[in-house]
Amino acid sequence: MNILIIEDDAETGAYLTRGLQEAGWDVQLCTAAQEGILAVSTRDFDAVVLDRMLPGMDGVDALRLMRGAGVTTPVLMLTARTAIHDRVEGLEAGADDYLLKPFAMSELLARLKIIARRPARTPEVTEMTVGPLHINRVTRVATREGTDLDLSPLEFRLLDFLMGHAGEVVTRTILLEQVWGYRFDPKTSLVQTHMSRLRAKVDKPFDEEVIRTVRGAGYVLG
Amino acid sequence: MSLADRPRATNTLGSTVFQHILRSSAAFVLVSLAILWAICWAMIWRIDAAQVARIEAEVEYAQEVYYSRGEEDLIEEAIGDDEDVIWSDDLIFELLENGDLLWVLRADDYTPKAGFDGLHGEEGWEVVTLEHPEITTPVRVNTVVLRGWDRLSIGAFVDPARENTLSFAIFATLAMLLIVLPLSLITGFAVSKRVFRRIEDISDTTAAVAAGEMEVRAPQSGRHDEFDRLAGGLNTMLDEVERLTANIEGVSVGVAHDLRTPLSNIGGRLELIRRDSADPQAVAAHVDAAEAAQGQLMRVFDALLRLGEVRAGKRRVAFAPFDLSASIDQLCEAYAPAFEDADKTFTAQIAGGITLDGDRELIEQAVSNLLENALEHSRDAARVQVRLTRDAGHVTLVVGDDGPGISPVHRDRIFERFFRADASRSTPGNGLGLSLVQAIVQLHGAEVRLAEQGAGAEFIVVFQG
Repeated sequence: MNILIIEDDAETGAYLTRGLQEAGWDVQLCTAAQEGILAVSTRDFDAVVLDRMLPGMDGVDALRLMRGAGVTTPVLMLTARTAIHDRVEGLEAGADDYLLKPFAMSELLARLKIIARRPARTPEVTEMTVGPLHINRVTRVATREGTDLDLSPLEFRLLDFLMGHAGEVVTRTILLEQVWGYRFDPKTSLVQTHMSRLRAKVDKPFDEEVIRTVRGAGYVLG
Repeated sequence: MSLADRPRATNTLGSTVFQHILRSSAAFVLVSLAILWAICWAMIWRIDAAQVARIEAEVEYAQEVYYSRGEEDLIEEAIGDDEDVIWSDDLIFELLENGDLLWVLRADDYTPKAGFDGLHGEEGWEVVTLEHPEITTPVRVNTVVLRGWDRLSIGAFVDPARENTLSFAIFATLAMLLIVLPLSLITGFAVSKRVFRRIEDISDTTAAVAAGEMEVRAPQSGRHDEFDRLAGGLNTMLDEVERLTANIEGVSVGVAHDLRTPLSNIGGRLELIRRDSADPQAVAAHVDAAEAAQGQLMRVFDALLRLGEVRAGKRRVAFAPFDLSASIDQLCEAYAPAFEDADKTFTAQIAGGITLDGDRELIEQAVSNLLENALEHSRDAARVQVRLTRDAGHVTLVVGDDGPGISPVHRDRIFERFFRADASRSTPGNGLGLSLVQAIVQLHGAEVRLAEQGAGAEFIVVFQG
């Protein structure tokens, strides 16, 4: 993966660069909006990490300029926590996702993976198979090695999402957003509760675990 | 503003009210006097004019008789032939009584030919006093010179109404100056003293509050007048200020406490990471714990920011109709396993097809907070239930448990920021959940309250529409 980071703060820039490089990705760091716009229009990136507050030019304006120039590269905006309504503006300007500062590197990596592959995402299919798992979205039946798992509708949605992102680390926050549609962080560990129920049905009766916990990050299937 | 900076309290005499009353009393007296004197002068002028006209007519007639028919005819006409030609002093009394005219005709050597010798007129109009042993009433007289230097004077006693009017005007003036003016000043002084005292009361209150005595309130007379309204308004404001101040103090203590615990946890874990750096498993455990503490911190910040945002009404732009039934249904589905894991019974009765115009995300957050409140604060093996119903014009959401409920002493405060019924703050939570619920519900023009009776805590949210 090839990522462009547009971030003026030196420390955050270094943290981002290091984190993404450790994940084995190519990183280019720009500290000014103009520089970033130039880079994104001349080189092909898989995704852009764009800070909301940049010296000289607002991140949202920079994004509008990019989109106006026909740049379709997926963009993840980083915004401060004080301005939750900023994200609406960011999404309207053409951002594919946003992340509130401060954030965990695992969260950023997971989100970048999701938006970077979004355009190539296969159209809705009725059936999906990952390893021993098989789901049918019409009959809403999930099986493992031919055995019906008897999932609740919510557990089915959870498994569906995990299978759609097989091999990727999926964080708690992403699950809350994508499966439940919640943008707030409940105190109760809803995700863990449902995840443990799902795993009790998907993994417990079988020898091998298909869903693994990634410590401090989230879950990965397959 | 310190006490020394306050404008010095002026005395009653210097007060605006008294100055106003002083000026308006003076103006009132002056205008009244002017009108009084104008009326009196008009009356006197009329009286004089009538008398002058009467004498004038008589003089003209007498002259006509004198020149056309001669002196004898004039005397005869004026006096009659059966009386003395020269009037006695006694006759004058009669004339005064009847308001009749006086007259005298003199020869050029001033000897009277006829009439009353005591009437002296030089020439033209004069006001004279009779030469009479008793009568002092002034007489208006007109004297004309006739042929051969004879002189005819005709006069009339000055109308007593003239004198009366004049003395009335003088009396009224004195009365105004000596009685009305001082009286109005005394009244004015009394009124301003009252006003001044009431204003002083209010001003003393503000000074006391400014000096830090937050509990001082402006006294009210109970007459429901404008001062009571002013004092009432001030007191309401002070109550609110006091409540907010207390709330801010509570918030500061709450923030300090809720931030201190996770921060010291993080610090402690960092120290442990340094110590256990050789043991990857221990380090991983410390990192997990530190991350959990950091998450707790972030939740406090998020809740505070969101609370601020909701209270400022910024979220109202995101209002749109959404399916409330589906939304709450999904939340119940999400939370049911959590209640089950906690060995609590959870039931939900959701009426279908209810839509609400609002911010779906915020409403979900609010309902989620109520569910978490029930999850954390209900007794062991409690029965928690959620009901969404619609009846004439209202949509009602009830989230309740069956114990232990909220102590009556805490009922009024549960929606305050950082308020925790558990003074030790050892139970989970940050005391912001219910404040956020209230702020969100109020943003939607709805209200949230705690049910009056029942063994447990039952929160009732009522939406209009």
